[in-house]
Amino acid sequence: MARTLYSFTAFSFVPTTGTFPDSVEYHTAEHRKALAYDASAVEIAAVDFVAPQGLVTPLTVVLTFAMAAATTGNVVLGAAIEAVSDGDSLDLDSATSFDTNNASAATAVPATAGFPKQVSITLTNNDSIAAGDKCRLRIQRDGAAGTDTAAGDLYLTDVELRDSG
Amino acid sequence: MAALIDADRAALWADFMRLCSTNKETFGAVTKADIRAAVDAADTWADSNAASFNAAIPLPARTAFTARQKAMLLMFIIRRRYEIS
Repeated sequence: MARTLYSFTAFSFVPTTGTFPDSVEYHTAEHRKALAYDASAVEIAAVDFVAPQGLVTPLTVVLTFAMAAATTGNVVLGAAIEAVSDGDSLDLDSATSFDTNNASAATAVPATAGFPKQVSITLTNNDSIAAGDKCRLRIQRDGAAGTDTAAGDLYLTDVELRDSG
Repeated sequence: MAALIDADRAALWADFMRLCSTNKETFGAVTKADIRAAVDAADTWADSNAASFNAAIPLPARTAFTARQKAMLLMFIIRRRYEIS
């Protein structure tokens, strides 16, 4: 079983340490919005949430994307969790506690630019997330990875966070 | 002018992919590495053929124009010929 804990649109995300992907309207007439992840760098965006009561790990994140111009090659995405508990010794003014990035497999892009694709990443590294934690979910494209071969921007449109409950 | 250094070629490569993405110009069956190879080859060609282009410009412009002005001239011609904005 899996339950949707949260779903986020691209514009739910805010910058964190690292380069933030451009916010774009990739279908201007329909005002469809996305984060445009560069092909040649690591770009990072994060979104805040509170870990809901009753959550069951492992968590999974499902990323929906489309390619701007590529019709061949692979992309490598990643997700990381920061979970801050009541009383943690973490200075939120100056420090972070993101767990290790959970990288996707190299995922083939759709053969037509603009077609949607979903990639699922199990958050094995989850910073010991527990109900009530103040959390951030960080999404990145590892454009600098040798296995990320697809050219041009990746449009991240939606993110779903699931648990195993 | 010598060929571009690797960092400049990499920046140009990234800019090219970003602009094509913005313009929704589909790449076809090429990867990032293929595009980088094309960038490298195009720059090498430009470097190798700079003297030929210079020789094609008639006098007195050939000697009166700066290298930058000649490059601008070539850029304007290519932009108009291929409708690049």
